[in-house]
Amino acid sequence: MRQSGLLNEFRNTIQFGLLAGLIFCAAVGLEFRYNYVEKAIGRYLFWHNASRQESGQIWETVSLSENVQQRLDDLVRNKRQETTLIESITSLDQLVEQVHAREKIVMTRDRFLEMYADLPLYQSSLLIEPVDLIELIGQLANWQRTLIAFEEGNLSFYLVDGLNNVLKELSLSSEYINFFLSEKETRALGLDAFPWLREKFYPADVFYDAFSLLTPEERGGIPLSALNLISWRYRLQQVAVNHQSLIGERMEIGFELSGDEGLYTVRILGRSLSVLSLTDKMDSLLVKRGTLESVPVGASPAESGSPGGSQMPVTP
Amino acid sequence: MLINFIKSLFYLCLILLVAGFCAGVVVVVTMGRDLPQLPDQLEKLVLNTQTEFYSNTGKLVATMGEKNRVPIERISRNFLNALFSAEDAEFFEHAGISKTGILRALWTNLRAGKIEGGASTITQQLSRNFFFSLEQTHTRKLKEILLALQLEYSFGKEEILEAYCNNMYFGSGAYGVEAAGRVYFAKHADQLTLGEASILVAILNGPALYNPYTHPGRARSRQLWILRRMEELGMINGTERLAAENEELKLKRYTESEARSNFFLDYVKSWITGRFGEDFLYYGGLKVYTTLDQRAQAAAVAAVQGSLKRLDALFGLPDYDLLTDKEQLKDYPQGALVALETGTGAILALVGGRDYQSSQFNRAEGKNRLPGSAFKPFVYYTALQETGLSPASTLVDSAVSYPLITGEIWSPGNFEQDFLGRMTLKKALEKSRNVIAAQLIELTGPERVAQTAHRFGITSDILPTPSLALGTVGVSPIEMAAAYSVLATGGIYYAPYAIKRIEDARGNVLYDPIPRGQEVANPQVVYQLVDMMQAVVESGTGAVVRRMGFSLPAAGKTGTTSDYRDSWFVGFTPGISAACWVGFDDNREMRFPQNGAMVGVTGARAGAPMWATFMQKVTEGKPRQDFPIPPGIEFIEVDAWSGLPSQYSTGGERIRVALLPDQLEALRQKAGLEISPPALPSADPLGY
Repeated sequence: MRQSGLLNEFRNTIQFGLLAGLIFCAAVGLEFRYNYVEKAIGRYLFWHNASRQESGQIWETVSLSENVQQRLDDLVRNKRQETTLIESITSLDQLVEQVHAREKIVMTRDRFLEMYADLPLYQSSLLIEPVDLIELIGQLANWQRTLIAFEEGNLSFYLVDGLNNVLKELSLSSEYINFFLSEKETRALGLDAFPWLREKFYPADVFYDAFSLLTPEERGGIPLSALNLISWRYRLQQVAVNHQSLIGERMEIGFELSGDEGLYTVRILGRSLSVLSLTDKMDSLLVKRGTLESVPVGASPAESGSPGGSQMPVTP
Repeated sequence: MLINFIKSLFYLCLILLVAGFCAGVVVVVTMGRDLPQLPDQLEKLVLNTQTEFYSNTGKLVATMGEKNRVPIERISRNFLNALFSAEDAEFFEHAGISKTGILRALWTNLRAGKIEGGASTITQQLSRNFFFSLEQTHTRKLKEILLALQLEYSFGKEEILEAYCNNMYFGSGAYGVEAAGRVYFAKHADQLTLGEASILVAILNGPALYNPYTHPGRARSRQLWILRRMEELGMINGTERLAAENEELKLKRYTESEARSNFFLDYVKSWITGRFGEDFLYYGGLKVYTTLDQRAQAAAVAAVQGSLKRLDALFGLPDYDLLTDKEQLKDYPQGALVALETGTGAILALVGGRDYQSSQFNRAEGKNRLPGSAFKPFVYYTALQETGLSPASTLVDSAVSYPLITGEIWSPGNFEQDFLGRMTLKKALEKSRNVIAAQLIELTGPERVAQTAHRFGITSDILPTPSLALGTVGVSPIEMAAAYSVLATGGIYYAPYAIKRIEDARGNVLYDPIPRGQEVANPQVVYQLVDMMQAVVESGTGAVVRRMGFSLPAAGKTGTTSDYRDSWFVGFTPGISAACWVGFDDNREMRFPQNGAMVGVTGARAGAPMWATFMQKVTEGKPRQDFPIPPGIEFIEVDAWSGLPSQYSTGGERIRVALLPDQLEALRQKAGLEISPPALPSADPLGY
């Protein structure tokens, strides 16, 4: 009875064991066939994917890439701000100020020509004469942009093609730049305020008469546009020439004009030969009119302290 | 008893099973939290940030981080089969991990007693490469498996395969099979033959280890294994395997402009990295327009390789191209060549070694090679400029000694170990007389010479000692080419540059330098020196240039350092300045046997022929251009040794010298005082 019970229990155990083994093997087999465990884990991980962090190599790459794109955008924006000339330039001092502020300015050819045309002739012609510029435009078919930067005190203009090859370099010497910076600062003064111009003052009509007597070449050496001459006709009070020193290779002429706020002086630089010829003609006219003696004589050169040449203020 | 044992065993198994299950759940839950998030679409993994490099004519030369996404349908079946056979034969059966693969790997590793291989599936590799560091830890391995399971659950098999094929790194800068096909075989992914596909799959096992360029043997044996495995798996039959094994693979190699320009491109990349950071290069999607002149670059590569091969023959070395053991490379001389456009500083060609694939060290940039006599033009310029000497001035080539600040005595000798007596400076430079150069540096002071060299663009540190006259300062070929270009431009220095413009992917300009010259030398003195250096090429130490047939106006100077460790020739035409260097990387002497003696390799033997070969090719078809003569220069014929006008010459060699008006006047006055042919005083160092 006891033996039979033991046998039954043994049989049951074996049966249970076999059954369990079979179930286990079937489960393993099914797992090998259908990958239930992997899929369950995959499903679980998929379920809370959104709550996990965007970490790891690929996300770092994405982040790096986004970061670089951001930096690139900043770089492009800054470069545009630094080099694009937004403000209009109507005088050389404005251009100098802009170039100083941005280290350099790059502009399209057309923008450069626009700016050139906006500058007063007595300033733009120091860079290049209008006629020469027209000739240059014809020669430089590939000219696309112009870089303006300071090089050892001089303001350099590099005319470049699409691949940045320098086609032509123009330069405005530091002497001229300093002259025009000083000219702007002292514009509100009358001719009397400039000791080096006080030597002899010529009345306006004498200047106009003498100017009309100059040859076309000589007139070209006095860089005043027809518009200047017209608009100044009834405002010009008197004219003076600096005989004491040259600025670069040019001579300084001062024009005292009357304006809404009183007298002011425009000083320009003319070619020496033209200015000397103009002076001769003005002197002759004064003699003819017998008014030479009446021209006030200014302070002696020793007292005047002419700011010409190397005594000019230094550019910032 | 037995029943109890069976019961206990059963319960133990049950407990272990439950415990294992619980542990598994804990692992999945805890590690699952730390896993990185997966993107919604695997396409997001493809980041199109390829950087492109263009030549000076706007032609695409090379791409970096090349990634071109192609759909799975446009990937060669040969490639996919080779990939499955090598990496994951059960790819379409498993759900991220291969259990049979794991068991097989376990068994193999147990039998071997060490880890011989793993069982990473394609999904696991994708998981590992894109979401984890390459650090080998058990935690990382588990995470990689878990993420592979999620990848399989979230995406279809084809999506996973496509992401894998488009993103895996194949070496040589190629990401993805399309880029790899183009880089290695100039083919699209759907055009790959079985042989080509199996090589590409072989590379995947280790892009650096199995690169067919650098390790063709390893790549070949892995390819053969892959082909055998494909046959075992029934993907191909024996005939197909044999055909693939015998297929002649045409790797895109040095004939391609990209490979030719590697040193140049490295220079460009290193500049961009220095200026904008490395990330810009990899993730900026930049378009880099370089100054590279592909014709000049091809000529430079040919000149360097050709010249070095001739030197190999002199040294009795076996043909470099047939070399199988890369260890032997150190026995072969190396070379570098840099060519600049004189009027802008644009680098037209740059070769930093004989074979980029064997050694990527850029010798064109290395500032560690002594220029020898190639440094003398800086000494002569300083002397002409500072002391009032002229090319017709004479010095005595005889033994000299100078005390150094260290208390030692410096007694320079000539290369030929002889002395020639009185001679003009022009003749002295033509013959590269060391003693005369030493006398000149004594007159000017080494500091002045160092200043001149710096002004001319030598950026290396210069120790101002008298021996500087003989070029005892480490310089790079780039520096030398740029410094000599000052002579070609009449005194204007242009800093060498290799990038004309950099744009971002949208075409916005990030960088576009405009080359601006800087006047650093007196044009008249520069011309006098150029005239003297033309004589070096016509009849001096660089005459080999003319003997090799280069006939355009040119000037230059050879350079050989002591014990023949460096051979230089730096020369220029009005339009191109080029520096050539030859030497061993380990700085050993360059000597070869000739008529029973060991002969040294001079600048005239290695550097100058390389220069002539290059210049001949690069100036082919170009019009003749003479060096412009600045105003105030006058020419007069003088006796090469006494320096007196030729009418006073005793019948010796006559040379033409370029003089300034006051120098000419001084020479005439001196000649008037000399009634009889000049005596040759040996004590008067100037003799003017």
